[in-house]
Order: sequence, then C-alpha cells, then structure tokens
Amino acid sequence: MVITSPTLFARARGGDRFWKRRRILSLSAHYFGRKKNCYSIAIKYVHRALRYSTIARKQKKLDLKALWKTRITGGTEELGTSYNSMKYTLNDIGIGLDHKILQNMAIWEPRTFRGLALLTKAKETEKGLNSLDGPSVSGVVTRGML
Amino acid sequence: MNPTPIRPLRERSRRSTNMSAAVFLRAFRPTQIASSALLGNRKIIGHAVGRAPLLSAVSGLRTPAFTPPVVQQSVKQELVKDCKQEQDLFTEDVISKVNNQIVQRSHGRLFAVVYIHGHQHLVTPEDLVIVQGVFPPSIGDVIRLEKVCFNRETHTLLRINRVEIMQKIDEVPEVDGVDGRIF
Repeated sequence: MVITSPTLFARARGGDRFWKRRRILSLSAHYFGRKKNCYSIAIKYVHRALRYSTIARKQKKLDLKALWKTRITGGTEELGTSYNSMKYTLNDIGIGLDHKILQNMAIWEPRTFRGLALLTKAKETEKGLNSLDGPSVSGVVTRGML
Repeated sequence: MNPTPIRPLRERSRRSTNMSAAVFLRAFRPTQIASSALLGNRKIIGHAVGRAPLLSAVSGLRTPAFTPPVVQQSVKQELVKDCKQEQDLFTEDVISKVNNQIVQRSHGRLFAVVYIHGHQHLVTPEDLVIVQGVFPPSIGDVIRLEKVCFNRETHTLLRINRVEIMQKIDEVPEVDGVDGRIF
C-alpha cells in the first residue's frame, strides 16, 4: 500500500558517506601511512590497485605462458631438439599436451619428457629433417604409425 | 676418403724438370697442392672464376686465397638397411617388460594427464584438483576418467583416488558406447 503524504515524497539523501568511505578504507587497511586512513588519499591508491587486479588477469596468463615456454625450451635444448620442433611435431602426431603439462614434465617427469623429445626427433627424421646430423634416433620405433 | 699426403719439396722438384716455368710455378703453389690433396687428387675440371691466382709471397694471406674448384663428383647410392626384424624384437622386448610390471604391479607411483572441464592436469593418486565453475557431478560422486592424453562461482574439489593401468598396453579393451565419440 503506497502512502502518498507529502512528507514522504521528500528524498532520503545522504547518510552513506560513512559507508562509502568504509568500503574504500577496508580495501586500503594494509597500506602504509596516510594511504590507509585518509579517504581522499586512499581512494587514489585503491582505485589503482583495483585497476591493476583487472589488468593482471590477462597479464598473468601471458606471463605464465612465457615462463612455461622458457622452461620447455630449456628442456628441449638439453635433449637436442628445440621448442618449435617439439610443438609442431606433437601437434602433427596428435598429442595434445599443453604448455603447462609439458613444463611440468620437463621438471618433474624427466624420463617422459625425454621420451617426447626422442619422439620429436624420430618423427622429424621420418619427415626428412635432421638428416645432416647423421643416423636416426635409436630406441624409437614408429612402424609408420605416426 | 684419405687425402694423399703432401709430398716433401725435394721430391716435388724432381718432377718439375719437364714442365715450363709458368706451369712449374703454378703446379707447386702450396694452396693448389693442398686443395687437390684434400680432394683426394680427383680431377679438377676448372675453377669457378677463369683466372689463376697471383703468385706472390702473400698470395696465401689474402682472402680468398684461391677460387673454389669445380670437382667431378661420383654419384653413390645410399643403401637403406632393412631393420624390421630388429625393430620388432625391440618393441616386443619393451612391451613385455611393461606388461610384466603392470601384471605384477611393480611399477611405482603412476601419473596421468587428465582433461577436466577445460584444463589439463597432471595427477597422481591422492591429488586434489580444483574445478572452477559449474561442474555436473555432485559431491560424493566417483568419476572414472578413462580416456587420458597423451560470480563468484562455486568450485569443486576432485580427489584422485587411484591412477591405474587396467589392461596390458597392447591389448584393445572392449568398451561399449565409444563409436562415433571424439572425447
């Protein structure tokens, strides 16, 4: 039921200044100095922090992928292939392991990673690459199945 | 192919008596002797550029010291060995070793790469996998991840109980309902 008395048409404004500031200051509670207590100073830094956190969602993915790529490159170069060779060859063969898993294996499952590197080399030799380095990889039998 | 050794100076001078002066000088230029020796004394058909190099004290010091000769190549066929039997023995050996380990369960801790809800995870027994978002199985369901590869929203924890290889690796298991499916 709507009460239409004139006093109640008056707008209920204000009163949330405290709560608005509380929202910001609760986010700046762990800052150093006046940035944590004074609203007009804190708001600048809190807004920056919020902006960074949204941008970082994309950046984190890019940074981690670059890190993983470096790790996989390190592992493959140790074993005589390259990052590009491994990526192309695994894609060709149909092994769908992603960067996260490959870098994990390069660190924690070295024998499996070595197996993948040997597979890369064998497949490349089958294609006709790696012929200048000499005879093909021993210990990999493809039987034409790749 | 072993290159013939460069003969000592005294022997060389004996051979030169019948040649003209120019030929004599050219024949015993050290770079040319060396190059023909390295090529195994094969017939040098000609030089890449028409002119012969200068005779001087510094002829070997300037680069290029001599023009690369065009050599008559003999064509050789590459014989490809038939290694099928060796390879078959090797594969059987490896497969039997793996199968023995599976049968006796003497392999250690196995790991698997599993694709769950858009992400790949490398899992071993007793691992916890966090699945973000709406995940159909509810709490308490036991999931068998058989095919392996190579808004705050809700998240679910998956506990990996076992990683097992059920059959021998060269046996094709009989599975129903797989035809026509990609994953």
